[in-house]
Amino acid sequence: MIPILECRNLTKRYEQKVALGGINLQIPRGRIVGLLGPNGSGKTTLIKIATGLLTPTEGELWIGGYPVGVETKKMVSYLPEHTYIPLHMRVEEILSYFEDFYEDFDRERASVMLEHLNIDPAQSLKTMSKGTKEKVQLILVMSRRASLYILDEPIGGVDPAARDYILRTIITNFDSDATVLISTHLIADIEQVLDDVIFLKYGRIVEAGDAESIRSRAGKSIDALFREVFRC
Amino acid sequence: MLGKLWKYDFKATWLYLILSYVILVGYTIVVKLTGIEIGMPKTVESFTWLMRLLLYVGFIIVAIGVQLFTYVQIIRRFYKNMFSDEGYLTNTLPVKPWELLVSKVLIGAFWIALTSLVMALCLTVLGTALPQELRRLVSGLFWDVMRKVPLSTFIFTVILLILSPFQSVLTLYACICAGQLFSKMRILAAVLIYLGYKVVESVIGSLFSAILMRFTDEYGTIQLIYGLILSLAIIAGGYFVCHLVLNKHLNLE
Amino acid sequence: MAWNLTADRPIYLQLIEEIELRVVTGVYGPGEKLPSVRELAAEAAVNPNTMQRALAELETTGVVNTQRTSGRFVTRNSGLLDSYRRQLAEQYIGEFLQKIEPLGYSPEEVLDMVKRIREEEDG
Repeated sequence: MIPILECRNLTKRYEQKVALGGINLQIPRGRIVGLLGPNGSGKTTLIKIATGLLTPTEGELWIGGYPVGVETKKMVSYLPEHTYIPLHMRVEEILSYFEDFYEDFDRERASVMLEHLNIDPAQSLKTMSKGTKEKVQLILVMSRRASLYILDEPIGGVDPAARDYILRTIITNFDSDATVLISTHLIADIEQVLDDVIFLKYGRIVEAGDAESIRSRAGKSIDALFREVFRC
Repeated sequence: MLGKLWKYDFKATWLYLILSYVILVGYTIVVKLTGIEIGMPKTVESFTWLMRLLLYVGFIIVAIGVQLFTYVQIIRRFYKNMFSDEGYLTNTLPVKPWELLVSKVLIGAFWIALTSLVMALCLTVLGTALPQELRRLVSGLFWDVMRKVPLSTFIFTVILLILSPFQSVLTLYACICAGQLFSKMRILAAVLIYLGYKVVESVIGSLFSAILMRFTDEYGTIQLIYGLILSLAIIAGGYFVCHLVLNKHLNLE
Repeated sequence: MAWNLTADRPIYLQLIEEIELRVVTGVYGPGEKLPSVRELAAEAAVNPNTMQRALAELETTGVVNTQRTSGRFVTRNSGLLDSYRRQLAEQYIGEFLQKIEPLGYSPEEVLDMVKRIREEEDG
C-alpha cells in the first residue's frame, strides 16, 4: 500500500541553519503518529512543507503518491498552532467556507459537535475566547474526511478538560483509512493515543517506530525516553 | 474555484467601501441641495463665500479620503488574507496559487474602478452646479476634442484606462510580496520597496517623456503607445513577482 | 470504573488487564455485549488500534468472542470467568501478603485481623 506520507532526502536550508537535513520517512495509513521534538527541531518545517506552505531546498515529499500541490491539499486537513480562521466571519460563515472549498467537509458532523459544545452558529468569531476559537478550529479540521490530518500542537496551552475533549475527538473520529500526525512537545498527555512515534532532533530523525515496542524495549514511557534523548 | 475565491474577497471588503460611497454620494447630494453654485461670486459676502469654499474643500477631502480608503481596503485584504495568520488557511486551500492571485487582482481592480465611477458620478452631479455659460463651454470643448481625436488615440486611451486599475493593484501586491522575501519587518520592507519603485517609475517616466517629446504628434500617440507598453510590462512584471513569491518563496510567520 | 493506565508499560497489556478486571467484577456481565472498539478507546483515552489489539488477545484467550455482524461479547463460560476471578484474587492476596509479611504477624493473626476489620466495617 502506498504510504500516506513519504519523504525522500527532504532538506530545508536557510542562510543561518539547516532546519531539516535529509529526512527519509514513510508513514502508513490508519495510524496515529506522534511527531515529537523540542522547539526548533524541524517539526514545523516538516509540517509546512507537507501542507504546501514552504518549498524544500532538496528532496521530495509525497502525500498519497502525489507531490505537494492542489491534489495533496485536498487530502490533508491541517490544524496549525494558532488561530487561522478569518475573524471577521461568523461560525456559520466559516462552515460554508469549508463546505465551498473542501469536498470532503461534513457540515452535519461539524454542526453536531458545535452543538455539543454550546457554540452558537450565529456568533462572530471575533467575540470568542481563545479556547473557544481553538475548539471551533479543531471541529472544522476534524469534520473533514481527509486522508491525512496534521495537527500542530493541538493541546498546548489548553485546559485539561479541553485537552480531554480534543483527544476524545481525535479518537472517535479516527478512520482506519486515515492517518493523524500530531506534532507536539507535550508527550505525557498524548502518548497513550499514539501508534507510532518519530523523534526529531536538530532537523534529523533520531528515533522512530511503534510506540508499544519502544515502550517494552526501553522499559519506560515515551515521555521518559524523550526526556533522556533530548536532555539539555 | 476562482469564482468562490472572488465571492469571499468581495464579502470581506464590500461593507466599509459601500459605506464610504454612501458618505461621498450623500455629501454630494447635500451640496447639490444647498443650491450653491460654483464660480466667482458677484459680491464677496464673506459668510456664503466661506461656506461655499468649505463645502468644496470638504468634498475634495472626502473624495481623496474615499480614494485612499479604497487602496487601504485592498491592501489590507491582500495582506491579511495571504500573509497573516489567515494565510495558513488561504494557502492550504486546494486551489492553485494563480487562482488566489487572480481573484485578489480582480477584486482590487473592481473596487478601484468602482470608486472611480462613483467619483466621476459625483463630479458630474457637482458639475451641474456650474453656471450655465461655463457648462456650455466645457461641454463644447469636450465634444470638439472628441470629434477631432483620431480613433486610434481614443482606443489607446480607453485601453490605458482599463489597464490602469490592474497596474495599480499589481504594483501594490508585488511590493507586498517582495516584502515577504525578508525575514523581519516585512511590512516596512514592502513600503520601502513601493516608495523606491515609485521614484524609479517617475524618473524613468520623465526621462522617456522628454525623449519622446521630439517624435510625437499633436495627440501624443507615441507617448500613448509607450504608456501602453509600459503598463503591460508593469502588469506582467508585477504578476511575475507575486507568482514567484507565492509559489516558491512562501514563508509565513 | 476509571481506566488505570500508565505509560511505562505497553498499553495493550494494561488494557487486557483492565478489561479482565471489568469482566471479573461484573462491570461487563457474562454474555453481555461490549461497547465498540472506538467507544472503549475513547473511554480509556487510547488509540483504537491499541484497544483492538487488546481485544484480539482477549479473543484468543476466550474471555471475549466476536459474532461477526453483532459485535463483541463477554464469554458465557462461567468456568473460565471463575478461573480468572480466582487468578486475580490470588494475585491480590499475594501482593497483600508480600506487604504484610515484613510486619511480622503470623497467618492466623492476620486472618483474625481481617475478620475483625470486616466486622467493624459492617457494623
